[in-house]
Amino acid sequence: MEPFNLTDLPVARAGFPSPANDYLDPDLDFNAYFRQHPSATFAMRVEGDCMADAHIPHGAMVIVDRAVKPGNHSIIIATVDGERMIKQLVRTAEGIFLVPANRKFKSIRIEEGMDFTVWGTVTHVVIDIFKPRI
Amino acid sequence: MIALIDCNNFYVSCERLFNPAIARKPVIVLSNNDGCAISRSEEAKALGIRMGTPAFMIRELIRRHDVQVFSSNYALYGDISNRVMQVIRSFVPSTEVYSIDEIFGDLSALVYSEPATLASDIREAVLQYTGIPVSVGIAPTKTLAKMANRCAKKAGGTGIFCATSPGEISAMLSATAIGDVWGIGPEHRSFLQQHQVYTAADFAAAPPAWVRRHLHVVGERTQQELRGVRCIGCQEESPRKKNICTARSFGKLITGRREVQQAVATFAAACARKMRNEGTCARKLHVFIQTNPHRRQDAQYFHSVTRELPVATSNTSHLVKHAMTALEMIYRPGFNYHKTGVIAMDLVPETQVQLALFENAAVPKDRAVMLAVDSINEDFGAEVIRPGRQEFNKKWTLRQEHLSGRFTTRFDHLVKVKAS
Repeated sequence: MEPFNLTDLPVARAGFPSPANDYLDPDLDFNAYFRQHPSATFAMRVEGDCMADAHIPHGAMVIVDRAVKPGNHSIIIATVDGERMIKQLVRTAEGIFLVPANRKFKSIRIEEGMDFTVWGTVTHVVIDIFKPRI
Repeated sequence: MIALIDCNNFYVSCERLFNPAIARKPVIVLSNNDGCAISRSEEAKALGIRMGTPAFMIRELIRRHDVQVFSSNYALYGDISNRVMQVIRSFVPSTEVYSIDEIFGDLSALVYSEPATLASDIREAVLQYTGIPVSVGIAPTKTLAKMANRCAKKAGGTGIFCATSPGEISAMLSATAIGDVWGIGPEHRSFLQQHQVYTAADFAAAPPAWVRRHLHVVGERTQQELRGVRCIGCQEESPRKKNICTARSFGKLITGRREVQQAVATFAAACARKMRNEGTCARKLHVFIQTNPHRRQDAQYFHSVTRELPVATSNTSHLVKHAMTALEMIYRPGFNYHKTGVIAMDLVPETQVQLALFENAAVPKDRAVMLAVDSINEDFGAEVIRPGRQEFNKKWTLRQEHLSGRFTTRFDHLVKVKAS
């Protein structure tokens, strides 16, 4: 008879099946959680402190959904005269303002002739508290 | 009705999406190796930059008009393309992706939709979701939809053109030069012009027997399509690719065996990775090398070889090994090599791979190893794990001096948003 290795032998599984087997849930789907509209969802890295008081510090990753129409006071990604920025959109009787969430910074009032677009609406903020990426 | 939805200046639009500073500037995207302009903003077109203009010929123009130049960033364009297609599929159940920036939609099932309304809904949604402007052409056949899309682009205004009534169709046919008809190449164009066929309307009116005699079945099909008879169906899912090719010019001349080997090994590895992504395996491997035919002063050499693989595979180390053997059969020292390539042929779904009689059954284990390699390389970006043959110096890889980031596919490439 050929010599054989014990570890090559087939294994018969013994013991009891887990009682949880019938109740298994799928894993938490973070993709679905963060992307309500997958084809419209993008991520960006925040540079600067002007939104710090809105829980969006420097280095945070923001999830941006272009399919969500921003409401008054939504936090948005705007482009103003060729520059991309994150601000709070505030509409008042006096006009449209891009408002920071940090007293050290000033609001921007949207004037006629400015090249202003809303790029997308910020829906989530992700902060790595264990290993900052910036 | 058939819709053809086409992204406007697609590569440029992708670059602009993440770079608001270039929204009003002339922008061009260059082909692989930063060779020629392959996508141009309207401002760049207005400067007279034509499709395919070599970059080196317009250096002065680029400098003078501050033209923004980008290397092609297919990781980005591919991702944005998928998003655009997804949005369109949510409107039109039956679609066929025709290229990275074009998709056909069969509207026959959408009996309650008015074509022009549907077109504007699609256009708005794609722009809102993905930021990419598209043009929509709607007509009874694919060939006519292609033509309608051309008109939509020309019209400049809404980006929508519907040619659904006989009157609209015949007006469009009369306004379209024969050379601009989808499926009519330069050779057929000059033949037709010699026979007084100048417009699409002339061609549609020509006797079918004459068309068949001179332009064969393909020309006849085009004519039928122009007459509103559907001959080219929508291929729901693009059929699985039959071949996967990775080939490239070196960017400089290469003579040494080792350098050519490194290039071939890298291309074989790239084919293997593409196949694993698609879930296919190759039954044959084709390798070619060639000198530069434009260098008249050089001795010319071209050779290629196709090898049957003992077992269909997508395993990098197997493919590299076979590619090396193939290269050994065709490599001759003493030539200035300019280009080489590897084509994985006769692809089969990996679930249908048959083991060769004497091949050991290590295939599943190999597969696990390759998947691990892929995922490590994905996590760490560059190919940190690669076959020993594969290059160290990147001389012959792509020249990409103006490459933007992989903004949508890599965490370390995310765009920055100013918060100050």
